This record gives sequence, C-alpha cells and structure tokens, in this order.
Amino acid sequence: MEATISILLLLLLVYLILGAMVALLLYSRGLQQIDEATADTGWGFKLLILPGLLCFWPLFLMRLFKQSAKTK
Amino acid sequence: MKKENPFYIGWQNEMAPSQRKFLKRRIIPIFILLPLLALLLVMAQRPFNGFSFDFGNVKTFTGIYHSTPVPVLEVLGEGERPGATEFLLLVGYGKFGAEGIMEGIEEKEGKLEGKKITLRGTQIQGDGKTLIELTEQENSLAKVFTAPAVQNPQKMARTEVTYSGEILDPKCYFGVMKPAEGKIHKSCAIRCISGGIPPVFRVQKENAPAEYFVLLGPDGEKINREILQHVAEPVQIKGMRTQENGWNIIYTNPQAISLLEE
Amino acid sequence: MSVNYTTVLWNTQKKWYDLLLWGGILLLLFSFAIFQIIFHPDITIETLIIRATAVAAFTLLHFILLIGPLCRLDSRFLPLLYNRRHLGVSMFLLALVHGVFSIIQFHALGDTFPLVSIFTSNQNYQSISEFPFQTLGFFALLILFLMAATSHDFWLKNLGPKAWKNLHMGVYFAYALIIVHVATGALQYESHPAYWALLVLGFALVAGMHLWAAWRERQKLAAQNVLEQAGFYEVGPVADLSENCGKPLFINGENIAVFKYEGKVSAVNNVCKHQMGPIGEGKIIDGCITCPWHGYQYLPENGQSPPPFNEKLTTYEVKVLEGIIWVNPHPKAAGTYIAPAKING
Repeated sequence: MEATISILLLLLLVYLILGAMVALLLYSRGLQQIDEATADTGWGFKLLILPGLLCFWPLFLMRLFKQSAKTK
Repeated sequence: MKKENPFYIGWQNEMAPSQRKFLKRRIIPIFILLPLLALLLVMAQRPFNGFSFDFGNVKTFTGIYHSTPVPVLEVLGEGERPGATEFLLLVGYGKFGAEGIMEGIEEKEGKLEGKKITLRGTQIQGDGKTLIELTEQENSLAKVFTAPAVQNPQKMARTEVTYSGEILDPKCYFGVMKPAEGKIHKSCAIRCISGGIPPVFRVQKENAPAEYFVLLGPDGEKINREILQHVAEPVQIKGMRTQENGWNIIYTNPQAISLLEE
Repeated sequence: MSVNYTTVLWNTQKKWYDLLLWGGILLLLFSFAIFQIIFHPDITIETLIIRATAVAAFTLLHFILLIGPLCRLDSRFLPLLYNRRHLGVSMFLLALVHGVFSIIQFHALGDTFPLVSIFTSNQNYQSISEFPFQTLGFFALLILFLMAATSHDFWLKNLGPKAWKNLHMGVYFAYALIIVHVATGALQYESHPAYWALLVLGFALVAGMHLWAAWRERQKLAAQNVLEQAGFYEVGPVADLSENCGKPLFINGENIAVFKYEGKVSAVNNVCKHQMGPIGEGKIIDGCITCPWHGYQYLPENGQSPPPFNEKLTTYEVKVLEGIIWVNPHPKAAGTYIAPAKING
C-alpha cells in the first residue's frame, strides 16, 4: 500500500510542477489571450488564481493552443 | 410580491435600516453563543494528565547503560525518590527508538554495555516512569567513566499472564503528547513504534494504579512491526511476565494478541 | 462584472462583513483557548491549536451551509449570501491550519513520509470504529482547497457557471466526510454525550433547513397554473405583479423571469450570468433588472448588462392581453431585443 500511495503522490507532484510551468507561461503572455479581463491585473490577483491554475492548467493550456491555432 | 422586504444591493454603501436591524437581531446572539459553545466543549472534554516533557531543556544523566531487553540508563538518586535506583528508558529524537543512536555512538566509542556513562537528553516523566529523549542524537554521549563494566543483574522468574489493556508508545504517553492514547493518537503511536520505540502495554485495573509492560517476542526479539495494527486498540495479551532493569516485561507471541470485543 | 478583475472588489459592505466574520472567528478561537488554559492547564500548545481550529472551522461550515436555505426562506438574509465566498475561504484556511498541524504532530519526524503515513499508518479500512478518520479529513480538505482556489469570479467565467457550481456543490460531500471524520476520530476519544449531541444537532439543523427551504420552493412552483395558446403560456394577471418587481416561472424547461415596469412587461432568463442567482426575485432599479444576490444588472428589453459590462441573458416574447400576461418560452439568443409588451393597449 505504501508503494501505491508513494507513486500517486509522485504523480501529483509532477502534475503540480507542470502546472507551475504553465502558470508562468500564462503570466508571461497567455492569460490575456484567454480572458481579456485579466489585462492590467496586479500580482495580488495573479497570486490569488495560482492555486487554481496549478489544478486546472490542462484546460488553460488547451485554450492557449486553440487561440494560437486561430491566430495563425 | 408578498411582503415588501427591502432590496439589498451589496455594492451600495448602505443597507436599509430595517434590514440592518433584522440582521443585528440575529447576529448579536451568535456572538453570545460562540463563547458558550467553547465553554461547553471544554467542560465536556476528557481531562489531561500532568505528565511532562522538558522540551528545550537538555540536561545530563549519569548512570549505567544497559542495552537489553530495552535500552535503559540505570541511575542512582534521580527522580522522585532520591537515593533509589531508577531505570530511565532511552528513546530517540522524533518518532524513533534509541538503538540506532546508541549503536552509532558505540561505533566511535566502543561497547558501552554495563559502563557508567553520562548522556545528554531531554526528560520525559509521568506516572512514576522517566524516559530520556536523546535529543542530540549521536552527540548525546557526554562522558564515559573508566570504571569496569557491570554485569547485567540476574533475570527474574517469569509467570504466565493474560491481561487486557492498550498498547501505547511510551515516549508520547509519558509526557510528549496529550492525549497519547486511544483512536486520535493511534497514527502517531504506530509511527513511534514502527520507528523503534519499545511498545508499552498499559494494564488498568479498577481502583488500582496502572501497570506498564514492555512488549517483546518470546526470545526477547523486537515485535514492533508485528503488533502495529493492534496499537491503540483494546486488546488482550497472553505471555510471560517478568521484570528486568526496572521495567516490567511481557514476552509474548504476537499471534497471542487478540482484539477485545466491546 | 467583466470589467478587468481585481484581487478583491472591496466595498463598505464587504469590509463590515469581513470584520464581523473574523471578529467571530477570533472570539471563538480565543475563548476556546482561554477556557482550555483555565480548566485544562495541562494541555499542550499543539493539541490546543489542533482542537481550536477544528472547532472554529466546523462551526463556520455550519453557518455557511445554513445561509442558502435561510435566504430562500427569507430574503432579508441575503446580505449574508453576498460575501459568502469569504466565509468559505476563511473556513478553508482554518481547516488548513488544523490539517497541517495534525499531519506534522501525528505523522512527521517518523520513518515514513507524512503524506504517505496518513493513508498507511492505520489500515483498518474495513472497520467502522477503527476507520482511519484522518484519510477522510484529508479528502475533505482537498475539496475545500479546490473550492477556495476557485472562489474568484475569474474561475466562474473560465470554468463556466455550470461546472463551477457543480464543483462548489462539493461542499456537501466535504461536510459528509467531516461528520464521519469527527465521529470516527475525536468522538471515539471524547465520551461525553454533549459532543455527540452537538454533532447530531448541527447536522439536523443543516438538513432540516434544507428540507424546509426545498418544500417551500416546491409549494411556490406548484402554485403556478399555465394555459397554452399558440406557443404562448399564460402567466397570470398583470395586476398581481408589483411595479418594478419580477416573477419567476418554470415553463417547458425554461427558467423565466417576468418584470413589470413603466407600464410595460418584459421577460428574460431567470438565471443570473454571475452565480446563477434568481433574477426573478430581483427588482428594477434605475431602469435595470437587478439580481438579488450580488446586484448584477441587465436591461429588461434585451437582457444585456449596461455598458461597460457585457453579460447577456436570453430573452422571451411576451404579450399582455386583456390584463393577462402571456410568455413564449422559446428563448431568443442572449441579448436579443424584444419590444416590451404594453400594459394598456
């Protein structure tokens, strides 16, 4: 049982690290493309949405790709 | 619309006076109920014991080191009765036993069995029992005395017993945590015993002081792993009772431990 | 409201709300601590923190769960709902302190990684009284974390109102987990009947209020009699509707709000674009339909939020014939202008 739990926790860690990378990508350029209302938001707001970004990053990554595909 | 309730718009600065009055009448009693709830919970709570853990206060203990059946320091004149010998059970830092630390020290200093030494550690004391946490781990040895090693005293006779009680970890129980028994402490007790702290079986008879027994296998081997899932549950244990180095022992086969049906 | 996001949209009401919220939390925490020190001076600081935050979080959760039904039963409670998300996030923070302290206290500094130890220390998953209660607490905390992490309007928009609402209904699952966590944890040690009594009372209050509110809502909906003619359904006499007020209806699966104002009648979708509040229970203020939950506004003739906002509700054709309001439940695209029905002629 310990092995199973350890593996699951490791997978979770990997997921969250990927989420952190996507969050950085979004902060540097992508967030406004997905939601215009995030323009001119400060670091307080960005920090506030970070935990959620770590959880739901696949959704945003998909949208970012769709947006890039659209603009090409 | 039936009754004309005031229409609340949160982003306006004021709420209607009638609305404010309505809410005040319901919120103020809540502020009175909250401390009463706290009082009720505290009054109905099971009391804590007066056992102690001298956290942050590392001091020295001098005595004769015995590694079996469990690591103890035989100390003269300390504790509640000056002049009497007391056997202080050694435990490690965190949720670990002392064996690893003592073995590490012995690799550098040579065998310490039966020798008079001074150890640095933190005192844990409760219900007539004293333990030393080797807080500084392998830096816990302060001095080794040159007097020759002392032989382990003769073993006492063993009697077969069947007792009911609870398996605890002595480090938490005798002062480090409160409460350190029962369901809510179970995980911690399992961690401590899994980490090598000797499991102690508490037998509590009505109108009599509790008795504490270190649990070991039939040949004195550690049975920490085998008894883990019985920790912190009401159990019945059958085994051979004796006393060595100041601590009561029950030598038992882990299969002879059974759950007590409520 | 689709103007650029801020971290928190502070206003006077929210400041009062948070002041009272944290005043209450601190009152409970400090009175609990003081009573412990007076009556149980042998308590350790870790046990005090673990218990105080548990009590505060669990008590707060009950208040949070009662707000919904209370507002359905009496709209004067709506100010409590306005800033409910701050209650939720505060509750999560208290639960987080409780969880982290407990994990460190009972699982750290041992031979197993603490997050693994939570699941593997006690493995009596087949027992009830010996059930590993800490596992339940862990999953409840996870749900509360997901809710706190998505409490900002940004998430409402980007997850979509339906998905967001479904996620936040998880609070009921978290509540169930916590009840069993308490029952198989603390209440296996604390034997005084007062503890069980409080647990049962809390649950009875939450469940009872929900059932009462649901029963009242059903009664309201059942009181609607609708007759159909050429695609239009009869709503009722226009005189029954108060000026600048709305009436919610459910026709053919459509949730519709009908409003009377300035000698006219219009119909828009009853579900607010913000957090799915009941528009029909709102009022018209300065020419705008105003949602009773958070004050979001829409123009009655086209369901659009006034500029610079850009939420849009679906709209419905409406007629007034001989003093009776009729609505066509087939929705027009969100934001479609529909000429309001004139009450006289």
